[in-house]
Amino acid sequence: MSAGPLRPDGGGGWWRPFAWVAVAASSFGLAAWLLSLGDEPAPPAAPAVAFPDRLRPPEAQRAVARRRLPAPAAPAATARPRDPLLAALPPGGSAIVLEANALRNSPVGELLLSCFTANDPRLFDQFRQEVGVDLLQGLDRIALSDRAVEATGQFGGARWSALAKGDPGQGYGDDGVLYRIAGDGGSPMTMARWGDQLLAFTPSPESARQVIDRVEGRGDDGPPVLSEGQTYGDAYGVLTGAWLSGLVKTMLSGPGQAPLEDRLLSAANSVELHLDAQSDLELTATFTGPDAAAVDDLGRAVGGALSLWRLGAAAKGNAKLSALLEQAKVVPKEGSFTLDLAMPLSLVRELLGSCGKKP
Amino acid sequence: MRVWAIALDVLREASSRRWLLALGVAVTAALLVIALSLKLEVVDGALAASHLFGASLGTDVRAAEVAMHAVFGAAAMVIYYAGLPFGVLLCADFAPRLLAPGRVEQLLSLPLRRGELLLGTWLGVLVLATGASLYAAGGLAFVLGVKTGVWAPGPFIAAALAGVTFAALYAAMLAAAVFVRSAALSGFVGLALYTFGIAGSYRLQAKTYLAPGAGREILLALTAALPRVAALGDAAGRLAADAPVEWPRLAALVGGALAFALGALAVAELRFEWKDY
Repeated sequence: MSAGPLRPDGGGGWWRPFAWVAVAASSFGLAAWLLSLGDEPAPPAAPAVAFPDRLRPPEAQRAVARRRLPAPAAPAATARPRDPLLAALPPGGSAIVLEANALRNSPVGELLLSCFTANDPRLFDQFRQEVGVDLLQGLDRIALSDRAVEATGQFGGARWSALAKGDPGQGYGDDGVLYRIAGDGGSPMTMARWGDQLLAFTPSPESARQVIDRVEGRGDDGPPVLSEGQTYGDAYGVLTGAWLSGLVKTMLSGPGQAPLEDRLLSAANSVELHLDAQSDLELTATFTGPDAAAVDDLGRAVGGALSLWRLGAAAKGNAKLSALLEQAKVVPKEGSFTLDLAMPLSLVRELLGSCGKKP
Repeated sequence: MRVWAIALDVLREASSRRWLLALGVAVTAALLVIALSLKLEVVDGALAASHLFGASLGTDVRAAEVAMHAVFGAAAMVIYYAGLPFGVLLCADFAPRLLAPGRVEQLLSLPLRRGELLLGTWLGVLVLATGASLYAAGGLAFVLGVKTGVWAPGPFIAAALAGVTFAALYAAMLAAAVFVRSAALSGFVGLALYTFGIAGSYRLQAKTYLAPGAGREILLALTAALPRVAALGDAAGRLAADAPVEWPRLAALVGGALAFALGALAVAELRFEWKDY
């Protein structure tokens, strides 16, 4: 700190003030550098998250590859290549499509498989031997809708009589065959197959015939619930009516929640979902409803809940969940809002709990 | 040598103003309150059992020294976090008095350089504050030692780290006093730096709670060079409790605080050397 002789008049070399400024600046710079070395390690950088919010190039190519021409007898207006599974879906209501093959090869799929085979490791092998279909390799997609469960895949080696418990089947349309089978609890069901690539399980022969009609281009009850442009993600679909109500009831289980359920369902009467599961879970959900103000309020409430969840995760030291939730967002639109939400695989593993472990 | 002469002069000044006596009485009174009010019977009983039955009675009964680690850690935190603002408030008027009209002219007439005057004042106050905290630490270690039979250097470590942090705080206070001769402003700067230094210790964690953007980056830049008051306090507590400490990190924190002090003293000198008195 020796600064030369006293200069009450403030005189001295012209460079002296600059020297002290340099000393101060370099000292503060040194302090910042040293202190940064002493700082607690920063929380891990937020993992890269790509929400399934649009049809991406591989999914567009996949959608094109799935197109099939309807039967020649179909009216000219509908004689264009279509995805049989999408065509088989009913025109309204709810439907969820699971990309079974993609999910089976995802970390979540591995977890679920270990759940299914926990008590019977030969479950899938036995099915393949009895029916001739390898569910792990040959199953491409599963669609759940209000009126049917449908599946696509490579069913060329299937022993249909074994699957239909001896029913030889009855031909319908150009490539359709209907089988009467017994469903859960013994109630009669109808299984319909279209060629060797699509299966549908329906509650009645009439709805099975409707499925075949739609696939072969004879359906006249409007476009299916999901369009090709909505087939992005490893799972996607639309929830309305009873399905949405059931989901809300499940989430709000407990006494005295009925008014809240009613309020939620009156605000949002339709949710479009897209889920990626190739690493962590990335979900995009678009909520729509008849009352724009109510939807807006619901979006804000969901955003607030996400913030609380993120703060709670940070307080509990769950850095990864906190980082993923930091990227969660609610994007309001006119009469709807989109929720982007990512969930770490570790949390899914935790939610599945002891599933897959023998007691 | 002239710097130390000024530092001694600061101490003599403190002594002549019975300032040292007041500080000693305050610290001794605090120690007496602690000695008389601490209910160490439970700890004492656990220690006796531990001594009597050994170290393997169960998960909750440990060797005596281990059982006292938490107590020493807590004592170190008290000394550190209570001692710093206490020292800031008590030392806030030293520099303004030094710069008082009449007094400063008298000092400037001596064969001293202005820089030596500033550095001597800073050192004198630092010695005073660190001495007081070491006295408090020694007293607390004595009280705990007499009551429990366990003697540990934890409180002294905390006092030393408090001295390092105080060096940074008082350098900023001295710089503030050179710009505006006000004990209130000097004390305010010290307390503000103490507060922001605690917050600055969690600056990277706080990133989670701040929206990304220019505001967050500016805030992080502004807090980059602030002494990490809480991080040093945490280290003091851990050292006193015999918990593991990352020595390179601690060295960086100490070095950073001292570099901050040097920077603040350079700012003070820049203003002091070219100021007319």
